[in-house]
Amino acid sequence: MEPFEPVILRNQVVPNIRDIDVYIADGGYEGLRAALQMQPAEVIETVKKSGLRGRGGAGFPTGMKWGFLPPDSPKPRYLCVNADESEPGTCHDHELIEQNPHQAIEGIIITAYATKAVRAFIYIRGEFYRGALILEEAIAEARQRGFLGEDILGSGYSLDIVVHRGAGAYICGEETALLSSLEGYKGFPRNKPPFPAVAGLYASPTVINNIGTLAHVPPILRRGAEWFAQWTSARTTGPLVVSVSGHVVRPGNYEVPIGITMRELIYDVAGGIRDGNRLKAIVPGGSSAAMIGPDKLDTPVEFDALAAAGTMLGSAGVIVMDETTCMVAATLRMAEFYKEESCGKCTPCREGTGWMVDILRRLEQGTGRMQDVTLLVSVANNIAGKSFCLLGDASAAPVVSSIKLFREEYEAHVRAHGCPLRSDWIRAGLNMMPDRVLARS
Amino acid sequence: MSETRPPQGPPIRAGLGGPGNVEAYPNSDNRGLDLVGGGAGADARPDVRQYDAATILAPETVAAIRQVMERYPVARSAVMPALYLTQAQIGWLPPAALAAVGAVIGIPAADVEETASFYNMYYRQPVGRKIVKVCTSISCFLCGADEVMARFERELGIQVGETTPDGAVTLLRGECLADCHHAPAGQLNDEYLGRLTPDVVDRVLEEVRG
Repeated sequence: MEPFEPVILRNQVVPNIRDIDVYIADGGYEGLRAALQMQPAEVIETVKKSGLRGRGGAGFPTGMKWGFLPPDSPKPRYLCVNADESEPGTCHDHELIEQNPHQAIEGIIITAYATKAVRAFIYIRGEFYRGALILEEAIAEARQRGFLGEDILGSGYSLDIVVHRGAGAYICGEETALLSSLEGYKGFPRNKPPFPAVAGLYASPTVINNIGTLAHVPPILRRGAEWFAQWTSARTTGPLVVSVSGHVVRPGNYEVPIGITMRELIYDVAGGIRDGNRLKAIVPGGSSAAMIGPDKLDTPVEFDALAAAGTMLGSAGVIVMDETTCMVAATLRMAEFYKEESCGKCTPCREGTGWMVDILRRLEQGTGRMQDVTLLVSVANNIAGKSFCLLGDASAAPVVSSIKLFREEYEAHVRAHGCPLRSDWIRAGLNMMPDRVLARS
Repeated sequence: MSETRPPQGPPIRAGLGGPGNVEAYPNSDNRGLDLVGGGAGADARPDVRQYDAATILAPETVAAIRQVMERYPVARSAVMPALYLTQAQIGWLPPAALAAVGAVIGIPAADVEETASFYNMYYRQPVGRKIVKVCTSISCFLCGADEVMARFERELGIQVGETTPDGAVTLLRGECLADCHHAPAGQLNDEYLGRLTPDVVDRVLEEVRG
């Protein structure tokens, strides 16, 4: 195995890679040249062989997804690229788009070629205004060099990429809601089947990939599937781009070889917990992933290992909470996000996310009742799996997991008629940390 | 009571004032307008009767919308960019503007309103000339976003969601702005501010009051 150097966030080792000349000098667009020498089916085979799994959240094998397109549909095929990065705790696509846009563009062109798409759309969240400008600029540069437009590099294949800005709705990161939004409608998810591969954008066969996933494609084509699979942990291959935020010394976006443990990521890569504090909880994959305790620190940061630990890699947004964190307040904050962002289509999610916020708020404010803790779990379990899309499940995950890990802290809120971690109480010597509350009761 | 001249935003401002969203479409000749410029006075309820769907859109805006429509196989897909272009011209989206967008694209006003009302970056009431967003989602919350928000509220004399009486600035809550490694994160208009340290907050306050 070669010593590890970032493959995706090349901007961290190559200054000014945003510039197309710098990108080309670093081997950029060679993956595209290699792909255009192959038949589209061979490109799909190569990506399948590399083992690349989608980095948007679900971890679905990318090459396999491309293979789902019906071979004989008379309708045009579309490629939709999900750059609607909105999962709390996740910010690595933001860096990729702004700092290494050509790698994303090259990945999109290769993917469109492999799937024979007639047009590609990048759905970018509205707040990434600068990111949208940078992508537009990169697209124009790529077109100037013949990497985009008519008859790309003499291959006979033609492609245009359209940048479409969202406007502040988390739900549009859900693939079918993204399609609704791109068609000019409210971002409502659609029921599946039909799957987007069969009837997606404008009811045509559509591939939807995360922009971060597609940035993995050019190096795979340039250096080969085996090279990419040199980093393997269980069924996940390649380097992993991960955001670390919260109570760490060095929050940031990091690219690491797949398989390093959560302990290595938090303590070695991100510098450990701030102020020398103790670790209390980790959300490993954006706030939709169940939180885990310090006992899971030796879990590899990888799809299958985290699934086995009862959570998920999700969007690879690791949120770290230290011992000063009130878990009720933190969970309330996550619940508020889902209440705000529930699109309102499905009743369990629309109503349930509101109830979870109400109950968590009264616990935090000191008017909660002991049965509220059980009630919360009941509400959460009646949302998860009972809505069209996964936002419902996502909203339940932080609630259920934090109660599972910190139930006594919830109960301490009821007994203390408020947050036992209230800073004014601690200052007054009335430290009502859960263990002491419990000891007294 | 319709105006004959379409309403115009103020000219582009340098630095953190930021360009208008219209620049996302480089083919448009409608550059130099500000996303949040031109809003009516903050306190005053806008008299929407002053807007007439037939004249509210500047010819450049209409031309830009038609150009954007070319990018999509189905015209309705142009609704979102068209709303951005319209908002860049007027500063917000009065009902007449939604109807006008519908007329250009060829769909009913109600359909435009359905889409516009779903997304929170389309302002259906006047907003300040500048918009400050403070992210208060989980990573930023853990890093003190609530204190930053409280300071903005205190210094600006408004609550989150409100606009200062002079129409200078609207304070909004950001729902995870995907800048978690800079927590607590925020935006001034469309620009990310990096970590909202007390110094940065000072600078932002100076900028929006200036």
